[in-house]
Amino acid sequence: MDNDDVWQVVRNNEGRYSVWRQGRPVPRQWFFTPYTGSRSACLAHIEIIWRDPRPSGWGRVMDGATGADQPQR
Amino acid sequence: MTNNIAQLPDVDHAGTRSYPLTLAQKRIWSLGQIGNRSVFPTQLLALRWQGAGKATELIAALHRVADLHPALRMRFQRFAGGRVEQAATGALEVQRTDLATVAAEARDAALCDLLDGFAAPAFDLETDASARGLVVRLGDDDHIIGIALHPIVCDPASLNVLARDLSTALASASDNTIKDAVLSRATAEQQWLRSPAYDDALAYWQATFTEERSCASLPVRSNLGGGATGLRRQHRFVIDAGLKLRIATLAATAGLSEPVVLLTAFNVLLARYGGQFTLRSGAVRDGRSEPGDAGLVGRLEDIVPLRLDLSPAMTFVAAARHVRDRYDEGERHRLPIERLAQELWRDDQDMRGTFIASLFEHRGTLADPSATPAGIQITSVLPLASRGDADLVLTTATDAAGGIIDAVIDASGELYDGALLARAAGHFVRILKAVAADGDIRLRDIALVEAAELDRLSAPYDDDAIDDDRPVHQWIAAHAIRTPDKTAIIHADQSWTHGELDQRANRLAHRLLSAGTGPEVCVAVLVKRSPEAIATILAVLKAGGAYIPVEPDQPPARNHHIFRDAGVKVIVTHSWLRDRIPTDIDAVILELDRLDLSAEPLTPPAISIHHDQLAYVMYTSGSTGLPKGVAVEHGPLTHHCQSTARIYEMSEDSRELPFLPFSSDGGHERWMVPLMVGGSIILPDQALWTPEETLAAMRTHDANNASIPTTYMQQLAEWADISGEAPPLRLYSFGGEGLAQTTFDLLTRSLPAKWLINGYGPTETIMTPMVWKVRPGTRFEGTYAPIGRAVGRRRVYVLDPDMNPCPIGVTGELYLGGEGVARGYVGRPDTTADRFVPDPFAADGGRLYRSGDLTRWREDGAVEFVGRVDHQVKLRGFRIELGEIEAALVEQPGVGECVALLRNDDGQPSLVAYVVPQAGITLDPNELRRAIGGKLPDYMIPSAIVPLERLPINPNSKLDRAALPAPVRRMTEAVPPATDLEAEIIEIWRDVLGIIAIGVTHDFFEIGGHSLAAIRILTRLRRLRPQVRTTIADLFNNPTVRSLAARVEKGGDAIGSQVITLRASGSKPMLYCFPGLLVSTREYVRLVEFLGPEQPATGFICYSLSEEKTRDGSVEAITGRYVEHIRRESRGRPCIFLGWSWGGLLAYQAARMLGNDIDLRLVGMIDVCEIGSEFALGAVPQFGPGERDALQAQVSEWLGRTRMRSEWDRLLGSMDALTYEQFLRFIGNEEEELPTDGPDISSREHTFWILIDNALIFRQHRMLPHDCPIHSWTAEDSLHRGLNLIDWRQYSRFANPAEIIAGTTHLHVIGSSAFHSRFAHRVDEAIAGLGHGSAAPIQRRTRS
Repeated sequence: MDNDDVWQVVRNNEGRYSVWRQGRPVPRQWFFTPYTGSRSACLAHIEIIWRDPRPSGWGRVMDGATGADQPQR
Repeated sequence: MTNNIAQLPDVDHAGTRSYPLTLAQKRIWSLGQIGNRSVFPTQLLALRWQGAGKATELIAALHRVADLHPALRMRFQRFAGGRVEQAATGALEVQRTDLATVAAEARDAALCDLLDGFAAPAFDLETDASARGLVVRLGDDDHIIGIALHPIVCDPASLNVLARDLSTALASASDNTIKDAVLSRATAEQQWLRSPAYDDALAYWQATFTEERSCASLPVRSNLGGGATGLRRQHRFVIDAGLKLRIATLAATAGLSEPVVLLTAFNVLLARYGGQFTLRSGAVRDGRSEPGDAGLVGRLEDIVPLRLDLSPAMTFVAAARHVRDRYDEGERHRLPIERLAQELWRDDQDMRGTFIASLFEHRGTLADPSATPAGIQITSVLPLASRGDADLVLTTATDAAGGIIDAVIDASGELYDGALLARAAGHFVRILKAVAADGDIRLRDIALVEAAELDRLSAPYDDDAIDDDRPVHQWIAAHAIRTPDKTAIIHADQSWTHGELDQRANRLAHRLLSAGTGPEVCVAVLVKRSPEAIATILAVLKAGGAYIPVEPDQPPARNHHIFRDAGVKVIVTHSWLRDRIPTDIDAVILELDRLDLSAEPLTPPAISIHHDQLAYVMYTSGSTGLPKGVAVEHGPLTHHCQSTARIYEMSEDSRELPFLPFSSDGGHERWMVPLMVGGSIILPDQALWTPEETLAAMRTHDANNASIPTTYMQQLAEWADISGEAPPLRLYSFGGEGLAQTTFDLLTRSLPAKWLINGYGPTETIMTPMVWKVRPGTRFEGTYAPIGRAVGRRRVYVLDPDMNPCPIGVTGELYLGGEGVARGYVGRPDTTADRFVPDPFAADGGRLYRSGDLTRWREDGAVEFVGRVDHQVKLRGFRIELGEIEAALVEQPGVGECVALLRNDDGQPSLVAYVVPQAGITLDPNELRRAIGGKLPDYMIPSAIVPLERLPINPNSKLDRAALPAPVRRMTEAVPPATDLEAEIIEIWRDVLGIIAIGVTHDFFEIGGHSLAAIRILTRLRRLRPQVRTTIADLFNNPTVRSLAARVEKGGDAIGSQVITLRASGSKPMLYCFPGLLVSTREYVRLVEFLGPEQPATGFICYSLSEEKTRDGSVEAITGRYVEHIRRESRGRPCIFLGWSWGGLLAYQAARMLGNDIDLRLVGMIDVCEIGSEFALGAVPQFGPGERDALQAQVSEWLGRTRMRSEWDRLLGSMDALTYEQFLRFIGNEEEELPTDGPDISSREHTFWILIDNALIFRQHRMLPHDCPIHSWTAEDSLHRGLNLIDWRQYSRFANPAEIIAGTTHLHVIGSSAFHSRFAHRVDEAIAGLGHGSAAPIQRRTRS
């Protein structure tokens, strides 16, 4: 693999995943996870680890709430 | 102000010996011959001298400099046959002017005018000296010295030499060495070209340029106009002293030179603009590197072609070292560019565009103060001179006084617009700034677009309103309270009020809740588009669930996939659709027609909705694989709909006809938004309405908005155009596909509206995230209508593959970000992560959706759609958007659908377009090629256009590209011969063509026949039937075995004709094509095909192929045969002539002989040259010692052997003594042995005989003036070869300077589509105003 083409799995403040090329500053509110590799390897890894598609804030609200009366954001 | 001419007597230094011209000089001479002064403009030096002495002293210094440099006193002589020589026999004329008396404030303008006037007159090199001088007095010790030189004797670097020498001459007269080494350059060059060093250099370049050659350039304008104008544009800018210093520091630290840094930055600019990092460009090199060359004035510079292998990850310094190494390598293998281009242009494949499109030149300081004698101040009064010998040239020069770098971009005005050049200049400076700050910056990390500009370009439509967070269904419900009785939905004969809609939705929502609906629960709505479907969707939302629209009409396999893929928990449908649902699905099924909801409450369930809660899942069919579910959340959805309502200016008065299907998310936007603002919708009761029904519904229900798919828009507009029945609307919105200008114009004309909105949006970015909102009648430049700007809380970016923002006009992929993007793909985290990527321009953890669409920013920030990323192909180094080809074809009348692709049949990549005609229309592929020829660059014209009945579709209802047929030369069934003669002829054909499967109805030319084969066939045929004199014209006119046999059987007068019918009929004036020497007239066939079915055309057989070798040969006699035919056929009628090469002389002669007998509209001349110099009248040949006797002996021996002895005797007998000497010289120069394979018409000896005969014919011919309308074209390569092109303006007052056809050669120009389209353009001009087919009155043009 070309050294220049190393990617990293990143996750944002809402728990959404994506990939970002190593060596470039990661955009604000996105954070590196330890996994690095080719772009496709990173995507394959995301397929395994990203289980909950809901944004994390909403996930917490929904999981914590019972019934229909949920606080509105 | 006084004027007088000061002239010193002729100086005789280097003697009056004549010298040949270098290849570069020959090219400049040829350009002069065809009237071009822009490729190489006059070289002008104008320096202001303060403290340098009186005018007389300056004049004396000027003459001393002229003494040193032959370039200032060169004269050129053109010998018979076109050979040109130069000799330093002239004298420099110096014009004196006094501006001291002109008022100070008017002086600058006066000086400007004066210099313009000084530089403007063209040099006539055959009568004038090659330079002229000027001394202008501004004050007692304040003067301007001007020197204007013809570019044939001077390059830009020579001006620096002259400035320095003037300075020296004023200080002292110490250096008197005459710099005449420049005169022997051509001789040295000729020797070198025959040396092994030349072979090595050529081998290097052939190896360097074998691979795909990406000719670097900035993106050219879309929608190129027709003919070339030769117009150039300049943009000047400056690299300031601070930056120059930093560049110098970078260069010093990295061990590079400043010019290399500039050259690299220029190529980085080209790479970033073009998106290609492997590129070909060029750099100008000062040709004074050899010892003894320093201080020479002449046309000495070279062009070093560069093949650069950069990459986005390379650091700038690494790139610069690579550039330097490639330059050094190129310099070591330097070869005159004229010769190099012709060596590399060997076949048709190479003939696409020019060899070097982009060129860089760095010049040293003009008037360097460090070399100026004390007390004298020199300043240049002219801006940096640009150059025009490539499509795009960047010239930089160090200004020593200011410590800055002057720069000028000079570019073809036909290809580039001024704003683009200005921006590119700005980006060039930005690259320099970035690399001067950090030499190790990677090329991909250099930001071209500034933050402020990016902010402006990416910004959404102005909208200062605050969205509220109520979800869509609550907005709609609010109107049920406010205006319960107002109509919400009209559908067939039903009409639902806002109140009814809300109550229905509320009751169903309660039932859905009890069926398990809740947050993040998907409910499939398998109901066809109807008020009930809308009520159901609202009910799902009210119950907190997410709806999935499922169209009952879609293929069951697709729908089953949706039910399973999304994990649907509840399905709402009708009982009659029950069988569309798979039996094994684990979901609650509610049948609307069987539900009794009367017990359910009329009020909505008490449920609040979270911003991030799932609202819907929309399934999109990708081009491959199964449909993917795009999940959209409530917050972005409601904010999008609110912004849309404001931009579309919707209100409770809105009454919209939404025509989009419910299977697209746009279809849902178009009912949600009107209902959210309290308006109404008119929902079509059929999947498709006829245009008539649509317009009727608009009128009946007082629609004021309509939202319609682009494809249907065209039909609607066509109908409205005919019927005039379209009611005035406030707004039409459309989208779904690219919208061409012609369609846009049509709907503008036929569908009256206040606003038009072109919408764009992938499902992944929620409904219609981008719109272009304009008034009817708006013009746009691109292929498709712009897709505008972002809507609402979004930003859009055009990014390169490294996610750098693209400058305006540069194509990149469209990314959409901000709040208004989808959550992702249901059940596909990897695909979601792949397509939704971190937004580097946001600070809130936002994501950008990668659209896969190629776009570019316009000046005003609107985005233009270019094509799909996966539809971009590369051919011979050109990046091609297939969509642009398709758009150009679809614009043509009669074309219904079209698809273009790059095929790779037989390992030969070529562009192929498939067109489906509109009903009842037959498309002519050649006509289509011709029509798009003027709109697309040459390399984008498909090599084949294949009409198809319909495009192949795959099961996903998408185009099946793999199923498109390869374009084939249809070889029809071989019909066996029916007669003995046919059998005999077919045997000959098989033998000559080497093909067995020939039938009697196969066309000779379609099965690979060519003129040489034709001659062989005729020779054999004559042996077979000596009594019938069949000619080549007979074969050309009867190109099948059957028709030829019939011709032979019939015999008679037609046999032996010289006339070939290229196209028999057509309404336009007849085009007569005159043959070149030794070529058949078949070469014109492609042109005639291009000109279309209305263009009749006739060709003539070249006399050399006609076998009539009677020695009354004169141009008049040869032409006379053609003239008879033309007079018979076209007396008093308009017609057009075309002559290629030698044929041009015949065409001109025919025009003279016919005079006013015909109405000659145009004589097209392609690359017409005079004959070679060997047989020119008065050219005395030179022989080495004993050479003449040896040649004489060789000829005698040869004549003893040849079977063409009698023909040769006749030819040699007609020669006078000098001509015979010339003949011997000619033989001596030939590399091959004298041929003895005659007299067969296809033999080399016969060809040789023809060449000599032709030379003799021509040496006798005198060209006389005749005013006929002449337009000429020249192959670029012919200029490189310095061919002796005829300047027709010396014969006809109605002749234009020649147009240059780039990237082609003398032999190939006739087949070049660039030539075809330009010729067609001139023909159209020439016959404008003629009613085709009618004999228009003759407009006589006589010489007065």
